[in-house]
Formats: sequence, C-alpha cells, structure tokens
Amino acid sequence: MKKLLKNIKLVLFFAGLVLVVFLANCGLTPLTIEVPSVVNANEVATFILNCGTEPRIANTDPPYTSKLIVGFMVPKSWKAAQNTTVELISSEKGNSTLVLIPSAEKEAASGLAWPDAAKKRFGIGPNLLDDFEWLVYRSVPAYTFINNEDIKFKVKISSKVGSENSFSRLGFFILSAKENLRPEDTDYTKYAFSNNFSVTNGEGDLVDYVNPQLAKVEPVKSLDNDFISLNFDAGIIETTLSNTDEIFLEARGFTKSGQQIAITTKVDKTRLKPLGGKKYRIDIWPRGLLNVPQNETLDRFEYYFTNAAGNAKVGYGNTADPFRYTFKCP
Amino acid sequence: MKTYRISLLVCLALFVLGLGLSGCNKEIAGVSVEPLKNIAGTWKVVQLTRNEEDLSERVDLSAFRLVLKEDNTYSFADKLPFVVSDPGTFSLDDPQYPFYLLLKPAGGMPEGKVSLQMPVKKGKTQLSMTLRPGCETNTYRYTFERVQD
Repeated sequence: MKKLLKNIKLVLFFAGLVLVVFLANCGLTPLTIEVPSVVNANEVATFILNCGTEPRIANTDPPYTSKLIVGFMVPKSWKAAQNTTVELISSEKGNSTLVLIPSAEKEAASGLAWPDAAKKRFGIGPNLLDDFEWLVYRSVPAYTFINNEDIKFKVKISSKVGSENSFSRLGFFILSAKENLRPEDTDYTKYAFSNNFSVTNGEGDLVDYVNPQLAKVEPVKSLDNDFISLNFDAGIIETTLSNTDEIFLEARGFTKSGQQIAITTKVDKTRLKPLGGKKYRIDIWPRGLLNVPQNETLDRFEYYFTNAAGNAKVGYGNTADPFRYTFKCP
Repeated sequence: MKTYRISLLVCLALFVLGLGLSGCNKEIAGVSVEPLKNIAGTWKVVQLTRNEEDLSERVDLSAFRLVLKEDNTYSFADKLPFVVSDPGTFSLDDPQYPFYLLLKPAGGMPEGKVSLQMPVKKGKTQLSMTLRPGCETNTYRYTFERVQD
C-alpha cells in the first residue's frame, strides 16, 4: 500500500513536471529586435523583429489556427499610421503584408481599442515623456500550427520617422491574435523596448523622451489657448533653487506679430506647487497669464524658475539660457 | 358576517384604486413629451479635465461664470480657455434633445460649437461641455452647475 502511494506520488510529480515544461515552452519564443541607433529626419527607418513559434498544444483537434498581430510604439509626430508598412517574412508560412486594425475594433480582453489596450498593457516603457502612440497591425491570412512546429520568423517594419529631432526608446510586441492581450499572458505575447533611438538633422529643439529633464511641458503639443503644465524636477541636479520650496515662474511670450509680453511678478498665479520629492508644477493658461490681446497669438515662449526674490534663476540645462517652448499641434 | 363586509369594502377600495391608477397611466402616456431644455442661468465650473486628467484643484476656476439668459444671449465673468471669448447669442441644435450648444459671438468672431450633456447629479442639473480650444488633440471637459442666488 505504501509503495503504491509512493508510485502515485511519483507519477503525479512527473505529470506536473511535464505540464510545467509544456506550459513554459508554449507559444512564442522570446522577441529580439534590430533597431538602428540614428536615423535622419523624414527618412524611412527599418526595424526587424525576430521571433519564433513553439506550439505545445494539449488538444490539437481542431488544430491551432491564429492570425499574427504586431504592435509598435513611436512618437505621435511621426503620424506613423500613414507612413508605415509591416511585413511578415517566413520561409515556412510565406511572406505577407499586415494591415492596421481599424480604430473601431476593440481588443476583447480589455474592451479598449487596440492602441489603448497596448498602452494599458505596456505603457510607454522606459520613456519619461508621454507623447507616443501604439499602432497595431494584423496579418490577413490565419496560420495553422501542428504540435512541435517550431519555426522562426521575422517581421519587418518600415516607418518614415517624423521631421522632429528626438531621442526615445521605441516599443514592439508580437501576439497570437487568438489569445488577445490578456494581462497575465506571457506565452503568446512577447514585447521589447529598443535602446536609445535618435532622429537627427530635423526641425526644432530636440525632444528628449528618455532622460529626466529639469523642466517639461504637458501636453507636449499645445497652443496658447490650452492649459499647459510646467513641471520642474529639482531633484535631478543641484541648482540654486535646491534649498527652497518657494519657486516661481518667470515667462516671456513672443506673439506672431513680434510683440513680447513678460511676467515676472511673484504672486500666487506664478507660484509652483510642490508635488513632493523636489518636484514642482504650475498649470497655466498662457493667453490668460500673459494677458495676450485678443488679436494676437503666441508663437512661443521662454521661461525660468526663480526664488521669491528673483535673484536665483534656473534655466535650460541649469544655465542662464531660458527653457523654450513652441506652441504647435501634431 | 362582519368579516365578509370588511372584505367586500377592501375589494371595492382596491377596485376604485385600480381604476384610478389605470386612469393615471393613460393620462401620462398621452402627454409624454420631452420638455424643452431650459439652460438659462448663471453657471460655475465644478470640474475640469484635460485629456481625462482632473485639473479642478490645480487651476483657479472660482471666478469664471457662464451666464446664459432667457433672451438667448450669453456672457462670461472672468476668462478661461473656451471656444469663444466674446459675449453673443446661443442656441441648442435640438431644444428637446440637445447634443450641441452653439455660441455665436457678437462682432463677427467665428461661431463656437460645444458638445453638450446634461447629467443630473445629487438633484442638480449639470452642463457637461466637451471642447478643444487649443490643439484638436487636447480635449477638455467643463462641468458646470447653476450658481444658487
């Protein structure tokens, strides 16, 4: 009797082990990505995703059939939906071009549109500034797999980078359409974020999505008739404002007609609110704060953070130059 | 015998009540017309979101008023980013089931169109307006309540 019990235990142990091995190997192999480190503005960048399949399916009747879904995350300013092709390259299953999933279609596990579902699951990865969008493509054919059909495949994404100089880390994922973006699933969903990716020789100031910034503006794209939030992160570097919580905004607006309007008063409406951890924020309506005449529009503005006396100032990169912001839409 | 009489009375009472109720029903069905929405009043902002981020406690909303008068003119007290800044006349796209509030400033500035909902919260009618006064990518929702005079 004792021996029988021991045998049953042994059988159960091996069954468990086999199950674990099966589960561990099921689905897609880990994703590796090939992303160039620098691309010129307005040129087409090529990203290669290397992946593979490891079908270990308990019940193969009916056989496992699924479409391939590929998502990637780039700065919104690329307008990538209009400037991208996504291709599957597979000697076993044939090459094919994936198509963008229509915006009205919802991802079943989250009930959100696919780009929102991807953002919910993967966020913006290691980036700090949020001005990205996820684009999600799906294969037209569905592919059938038999057990142990281990193949390797590539996905080639060709996307025209925007005109803006930027420094970011791009996101990519591959998914078996049958499984949806279930939050706990790591077998059929594989994702990766790139190393630093630069767009150079483009227009305007460099948008650095990766490194902590002394100052950042949210939303990244806005006009003078928006509410904008100016954030000051005094914790990343020692500045002349490191020993005070009384921090004010000094700003100078430049109108389209060339007029300049400045505000240097230290009052409640120019005072930054502490958020803890040496971070501060002020939310302003630029037109209102600078009292812009109705027939004028602000093109851009420059600003400093100062102490209450106005004799200690912090500007761009902790220099005497101001921070600069240009009002524009995507 | 007494019990029987009481039962009869109760039955009679229920019958009369039933008649009354069915009469009521018919009457309600007959005049079931959605009343015209009256949005006249002085409105203050009780909540403001930008791209679903709550800014209500972060910006000063206390002085801003939208005044909608019975004669279909509107005006503002104080200023916030809004689709129009000059006073003028207003109308609803549908006075019974409004989806949009149209604001036409006097003096020829472009007309402003605001997506409108009228939820009732804690017994108070609110005006919930969705608008994009700056970039099209930045969506604001202003929630107003009537100022109690």
